Amino acid sequence: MGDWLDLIYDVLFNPAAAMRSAAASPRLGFAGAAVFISFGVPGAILWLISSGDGTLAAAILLAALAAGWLVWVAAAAVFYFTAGLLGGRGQAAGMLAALALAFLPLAAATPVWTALAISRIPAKWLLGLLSGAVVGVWVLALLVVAVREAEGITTIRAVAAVFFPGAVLLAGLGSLVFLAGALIYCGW
Amino acid sequence: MAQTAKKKKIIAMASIVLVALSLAVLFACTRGGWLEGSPGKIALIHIDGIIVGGRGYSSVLFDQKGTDTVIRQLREARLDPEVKAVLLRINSPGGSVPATQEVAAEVRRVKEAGKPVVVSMGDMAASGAYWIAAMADKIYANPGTITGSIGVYFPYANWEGLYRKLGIREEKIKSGPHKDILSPERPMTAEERAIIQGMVDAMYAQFVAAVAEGRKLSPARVRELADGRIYTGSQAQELGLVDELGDFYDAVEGTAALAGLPSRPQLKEYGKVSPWALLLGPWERLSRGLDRFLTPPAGEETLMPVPMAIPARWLVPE
Repeated sequence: MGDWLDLIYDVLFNPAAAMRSAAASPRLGFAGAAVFISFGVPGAILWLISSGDGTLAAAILLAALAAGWLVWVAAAAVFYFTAGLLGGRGQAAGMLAALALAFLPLAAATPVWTALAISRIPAKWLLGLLSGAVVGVWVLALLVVAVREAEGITTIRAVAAVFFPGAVLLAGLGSLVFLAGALIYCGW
Repeated sequence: MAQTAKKKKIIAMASIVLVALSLAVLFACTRGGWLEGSPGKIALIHIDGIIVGGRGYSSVLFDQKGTDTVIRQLREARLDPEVKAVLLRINSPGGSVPATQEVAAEVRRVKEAGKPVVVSMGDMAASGAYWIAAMADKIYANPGTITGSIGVYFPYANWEGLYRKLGIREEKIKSGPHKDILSPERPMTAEERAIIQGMVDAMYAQFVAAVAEGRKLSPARVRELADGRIYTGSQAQELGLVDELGDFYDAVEGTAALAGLPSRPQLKEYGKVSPWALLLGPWERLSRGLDRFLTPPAGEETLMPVPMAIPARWLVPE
């Protein structure tokens, strides 16, 4: 128990050490549980907020969990590949274990999101957006650290390994939107 | 060193407890109904162009929406707990009687579900479009809106002379004497005229009954107004066919007041393409387009003219 409490502390306050330790001795069971919590907790928040509709709420929770597992495995596969191209020499299991920890801020932000949900301040949607952006940047930074520590590459290369697939994806989505716009304009 | 390790464990455990506690508080708040919910939204649904049944027709140069879309939007608004009222923005010269009746029936269901329906008339809400508007709880029109045209007609063209000039003579083997009623290559018989007139009269009576019910007027009074003429918004208000003179935003405020919503309410616009729909919608559109290409929609090749609740002069030839 002590081990994983140390790991959670390190993810929040000393992420490089946490990622290095997770990648060096990968424990996939613990990593899977971390992903479950990281995506399950925000899913539960959405579930509680939309509890007027039971089916929708259950669908949101299940979708959040399924998306979490999918994002974790897909991101690990893609980053392992791109980091490998940039000189990375880590193990796939190490990448999986380190990446799993990078999503923990999604759960760590729960007190903030709960406070916003129950508060009656008028600009809470703006604060919600801001807190979401902060958590997003935090997760991205942890992803970079996870890739760097798991693959033993420089920070610049880790940044490239993390953002290059996203840039390709954005370009692909842009093309898709352009194509969709053309199809809609043509009356399809 | 040991003290630092203990401190780390305490902080990590405290974080976990804080997360769990937050979830528990949120759970208690939602179950206790203490969460501040949205006051509700007004569904904004557009009825544009000629009212025709089915899925409509689309091509590169022409896009005519069918009433299936409007009916689906009305149904979604009725079933959406977030929607507290429906605002119909109408800009239409009318259309076919059955399509109009289908939309009017769905408007009635929205009202029966306890959600007020308000109409905001744009340039024009005549004939079939007025039929739908009459079902609403309140009608707003601009002073210059063209409305009214309460009546029904059956379009029929006799191309006999043209056919003779072209040397075309159509032969028919009929299962019954009236199977080719309204055929364009011969004059209508007196008996056929009586049949069609009976149908027009019956549909006119349905139109009058709908307006009388919706506007809370006597059928006799509606018949006085329903000689097929068009009215301006101001005239229609004086005659009791419209409630208020005002623009779209007056109608929005009026709808909010009827639904007990605060001023400047949130609108949920139906038919508006969201970024997600733009991203994911093409696949549905693509399949729909292919479907339309491979299987012509039922009714597209109909030989029978459709009874129209539309001012004849607004019909634009294709």
